[in-house]
Amino acid sequence: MAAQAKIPTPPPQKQRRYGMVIDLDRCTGCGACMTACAVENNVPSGPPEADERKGINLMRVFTVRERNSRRTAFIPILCMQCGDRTPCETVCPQQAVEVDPLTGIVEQMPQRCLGCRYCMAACPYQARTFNWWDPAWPAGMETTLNPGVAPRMRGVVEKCDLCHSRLHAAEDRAAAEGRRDLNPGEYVPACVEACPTQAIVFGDLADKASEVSRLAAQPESFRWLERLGTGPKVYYRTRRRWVRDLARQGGAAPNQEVTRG
Amino acid sequence: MSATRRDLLLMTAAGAGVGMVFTPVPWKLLDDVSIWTQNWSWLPKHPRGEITITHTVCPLCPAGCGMKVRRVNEAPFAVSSTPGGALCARGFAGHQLPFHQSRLRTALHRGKAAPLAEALEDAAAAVERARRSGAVVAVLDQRPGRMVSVLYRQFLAGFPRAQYVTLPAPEEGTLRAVAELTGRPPRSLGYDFERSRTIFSVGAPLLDHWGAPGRLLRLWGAPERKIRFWHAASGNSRTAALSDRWMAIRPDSEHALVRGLISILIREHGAGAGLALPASLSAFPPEEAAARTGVPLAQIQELARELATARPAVAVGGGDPVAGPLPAATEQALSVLNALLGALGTPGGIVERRPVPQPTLPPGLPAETTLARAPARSIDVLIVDSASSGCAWPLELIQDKLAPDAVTIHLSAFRTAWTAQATWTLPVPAPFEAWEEIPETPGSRLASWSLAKPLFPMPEGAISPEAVLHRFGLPEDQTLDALLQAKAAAIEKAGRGVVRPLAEPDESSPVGEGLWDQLTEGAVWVDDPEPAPRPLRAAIPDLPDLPQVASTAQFPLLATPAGSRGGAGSMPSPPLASKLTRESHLEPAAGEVRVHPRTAESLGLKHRGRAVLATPKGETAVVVRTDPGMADGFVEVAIEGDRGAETLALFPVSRDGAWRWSPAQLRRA
Repeated sequence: MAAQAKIPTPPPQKQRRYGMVIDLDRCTGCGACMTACAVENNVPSGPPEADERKGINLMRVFTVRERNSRRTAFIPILCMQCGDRTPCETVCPQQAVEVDPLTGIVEQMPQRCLGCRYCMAACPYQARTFNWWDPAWPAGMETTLNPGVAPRMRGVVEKCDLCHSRLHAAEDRAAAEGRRDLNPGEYVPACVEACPTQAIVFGDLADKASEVSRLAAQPESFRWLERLGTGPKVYYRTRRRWVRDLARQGGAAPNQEVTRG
Repeated sequence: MSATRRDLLLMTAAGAGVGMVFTPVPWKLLDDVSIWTQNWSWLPKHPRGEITITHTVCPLCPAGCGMKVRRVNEAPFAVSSTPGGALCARGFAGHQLPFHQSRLRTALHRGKAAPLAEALEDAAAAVERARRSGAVVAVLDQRPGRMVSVLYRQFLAGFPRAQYVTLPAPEEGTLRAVAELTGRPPRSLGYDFERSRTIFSVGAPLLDHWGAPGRLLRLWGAPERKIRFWHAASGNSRTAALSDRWMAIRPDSEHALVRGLISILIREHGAGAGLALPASLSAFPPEEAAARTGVPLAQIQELARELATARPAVAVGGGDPVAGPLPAATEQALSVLNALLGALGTPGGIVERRPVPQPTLPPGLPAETTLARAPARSIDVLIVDSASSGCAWPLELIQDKLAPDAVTIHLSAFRTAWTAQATWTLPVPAPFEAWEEIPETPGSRLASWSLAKPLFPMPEGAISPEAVLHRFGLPEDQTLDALLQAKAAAIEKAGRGVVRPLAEPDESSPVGEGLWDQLTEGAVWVDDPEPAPRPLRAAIPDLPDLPQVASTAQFPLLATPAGSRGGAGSMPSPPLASKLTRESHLEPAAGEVRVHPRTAESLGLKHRGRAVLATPKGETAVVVRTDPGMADGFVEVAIEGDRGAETLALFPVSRDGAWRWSPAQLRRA
């Protein structure tokens, strides 16, 4: 019997830790990231009852004011992609949340989600939203949906997955070119691409030479509610001390109500 | 021991009970039911097909930002900025506008659906009657400077009495005042911000969708930037938050602030030494400015010092896309301030913009008049063009110009407050359904020209403005296509400027043959900069004083309209703009007012509580939002969405066409 040809084992993909650094001194609060995110991820505008509690915003920009002052800052909040003891993953009874060991992205699987909303209660950043209504668009607008992202059904929780469909598309392109790994900048989420002042820098935190790693290591960079030890992969930076104090105190008190769901 | 029938039944029931707990069937059923009830067959599925990329410009407002459009089966599904560009939040969702729920699929007669052929016939008959009777026919154009604007003027040339009326962009307010001061034609000036060191905005939202949004944001966000932004306004806007210094002045005190600065500059910094200045300019007491604005005199002096020393410095007024223009007297004062700063015709100030080479036009075309200057009750037939500037305007501004029994013909792709009042509304293509022309952005120092590609076919039942004009009597040989191609040929002949492909803006090439093809494929023509700006000479006039709006016992608060470009006006916002308004309150949401918590408390109002906002012109139901960033005694009234026009009608319009402030009352509903 002829010896079977041995299939070569491809080298393992590089271990990544995708994250971002948001420069709050460059955020203008224009909301372009929010709209671009909604378009990219086929988020509907919702019925007129969709408000700050029930609307679906995978990324939301909060306006905060300094206490006893009229100074203002804009703070984009999205899934922080917690890397340690990820609260939402821990509490999910359906294993609908999973941290991808290869990319560090906290994945949400709506097909598994039962809509119990434990994860929403557990998330310290209130970065998850519940689908209160069937996804619906005005007649004809479904032709403008992103073909790479399936609309989520009513009754499930969703959140930012760093535009996972873009990661898949970038990996497909790289594979077609015979590459295992992505080049820096080959995959960026929609919010990063949309920001008119380039306030969001995205990349691989595991790559110490990357711009995102360099910025994350700077003294003015910080993570929201860092004391909880959830290891967020979203960093913020600002030279304004009162904004840094907000994050440290943990009682980040946006002037708008942040409770949703 | 014997088992009875009772024991058997008990054991069966107990076994079933225990079994129910341990069997997966009911849990699986619950699981499946929850999933079945969430996955209905009518939920939309995403489209499948070949994905292509198109580069074009955004037609939603005069900024004309570059767009990279991803398409599936030729339908756009996502857009992003072109390199170096900065699309606004609404631009990212603008391609969904053709499917807006207020999209017109039929003509309207006094707000009620009517067959297009019938409406067109009746409207054409009304226009023809006006032609024969010598009545005044007017066209209202919100985006002057396009070739379709020329087509409108060619159409009006066929009438014995005609008016070509425009609504100037807010960016043009101060520039128009400077043009009058220096004897230049309107729309011939621009700001040379790139070479400025101090930019002082008076109520103008410079860092919030002003002009081409990317231009100022690039300057603001530049690493180690040298430009300082000063902003004077009552509202805590994004521009106020982002400026280096924000002077929170009292409502309607812009004029006093500018007069105070002029006085300090002349008295303390020797400004205008070579100019013939009326004595009244320096006679205005700076203390008066401090008292009226509520800003310490030292801070006004500090601003004056910075304007005098950190030059080039330029003062920008003009107004706001929602709160409207500044009063004409304030714009005049701002133009004088710019003259004193040496900002007229100098690098970093207000400079002349070379006119775009134009095709030869027939003589006798009606001249441009702004709506505010059109005589009251003078228009018998008004045709309103469909292109939107993204700004909100009170309907009163138009209604005052209409003669009794005037006929209004609105060309619109959407049902709006304007179309509800029009005699006839004719459905025209929505943005992204037809070619649209984007001339230079208001406020820019360089002329430019680009074409927005259609991304959808024009739907059945819509009619182009050009076809409407032909039906109304414009000769068939006068076409928009011929005018556009003639303009391209004129630019080619002049040999000025460069062509920048939207996909690769750095790879610009000099203008040569084939400009038309380059523009239609996705490129922008940009004029060459003048090597050195020409100084603009101005005779400095005396400035009238302007009384401030005052609260009264009945209306103890001061209210101002608030919102963003594109939030209300003659075109609706994309549906996803709800993310910016009611879902995040990043922008004011329809039916809301913002007040300081102290103001709310003094009136017995609560956050998210219902209230009634009243002004001398009427009242409306609102929801209160408290915001510590607001000034006490001051109400910001959201002008957004369908209710925008109704709410804006609460603000009185002054004789020079301003509607920025009104005394108001807020009470619990």
